[in-house]
Amino acid sequence: MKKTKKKTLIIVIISVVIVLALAISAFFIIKSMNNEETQADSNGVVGKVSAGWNTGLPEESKKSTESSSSGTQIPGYGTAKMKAGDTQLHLSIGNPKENNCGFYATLQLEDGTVLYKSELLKPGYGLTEVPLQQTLKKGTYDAEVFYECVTLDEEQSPLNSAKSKFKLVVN
Amino acid sequence: MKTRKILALSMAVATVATVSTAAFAAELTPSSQTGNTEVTANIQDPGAVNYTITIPDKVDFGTLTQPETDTDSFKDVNFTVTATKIENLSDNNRVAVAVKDKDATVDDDQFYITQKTSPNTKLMYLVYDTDTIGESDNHLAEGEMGNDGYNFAYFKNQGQSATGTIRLNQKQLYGKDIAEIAGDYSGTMVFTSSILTF
Repeated sequence: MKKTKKKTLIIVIISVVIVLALAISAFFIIKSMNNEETQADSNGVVGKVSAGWNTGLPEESKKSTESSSSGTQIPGYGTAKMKAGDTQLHLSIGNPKENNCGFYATLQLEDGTVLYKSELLKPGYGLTEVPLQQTLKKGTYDAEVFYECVTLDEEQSPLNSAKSKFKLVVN
Repeated sequence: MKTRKILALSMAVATVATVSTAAFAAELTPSSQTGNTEVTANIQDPGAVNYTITIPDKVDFGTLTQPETDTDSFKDVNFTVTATKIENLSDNNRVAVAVKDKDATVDDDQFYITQKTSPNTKLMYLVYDTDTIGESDNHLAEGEMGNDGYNFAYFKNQGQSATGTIRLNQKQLYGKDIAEIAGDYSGTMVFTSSILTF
């Protein structure tokens, strides 16, 4: 009888220790995943526009900063990749902080199919994970971000605009 | 004795599990060397910004003057497009920039400014890819407009720029009722950029 009680106690202790170990492990794993998300979101929250967006390119020289004061800086792209059926695309869309105007950004295919349209992006605002209005099938598409530039006053008068074309590869 | 062994073993398992997960977490810390390597790789990731160009923010001819005679009266204004930043462009690649009027169509591929209060009142202007217009220079719309507009510049290196000129012939205003044509005009151009391989 005494032996059985002792066995039960051992099993309980072992169970508690294992559960404790698993709990500690789970805590660190979740913590590390959160750290990873924070790093990835440094240029924008998933699906949401956030402040602190930047092009990710090296800081420009003083000379190029001066020249940008009389114009509007437009981001350009080479390619973007996603999987068929994905509902979001990793693409850095935003308004460089050096600008003095607002952007309305539209991600679209060359045939005019709109995949995403942003709210007003003030200088320094943007996103890196773009929620898509529709999924795409496997293939390579001609895509573009249409940056419609407007004044930052209440009128939001149209300024010169730009399109940045790139290849969208869907695997 | 047996109990002590089992307890010691289970404590050891728990300790190893905790230490190994803490090490896993450390590898993902942004300040670690591994993290920096990943950030470097991310810069070259598809979906990253590869370049920025700077375009003129608006078409601005300033104040126009109605000529007293039916003769050419040009008003020229320079504009510049600059490759502000370029990253990881291959030797055989160029950033190509084309331009067209925002409302350009196959049937009407010219450039216009429009009276704000009366959109049907338009003034046509010409766009040149040179900073000074010579007699032999053709304006862009004399060529064939592609899907993206008229080819304007090709950039290879950061800091390169191309200067163009917009020209409005004020002769268009001659003989018109000043009360009808007076007011603010505006027009917008669309600059399309892409990376081309040569």
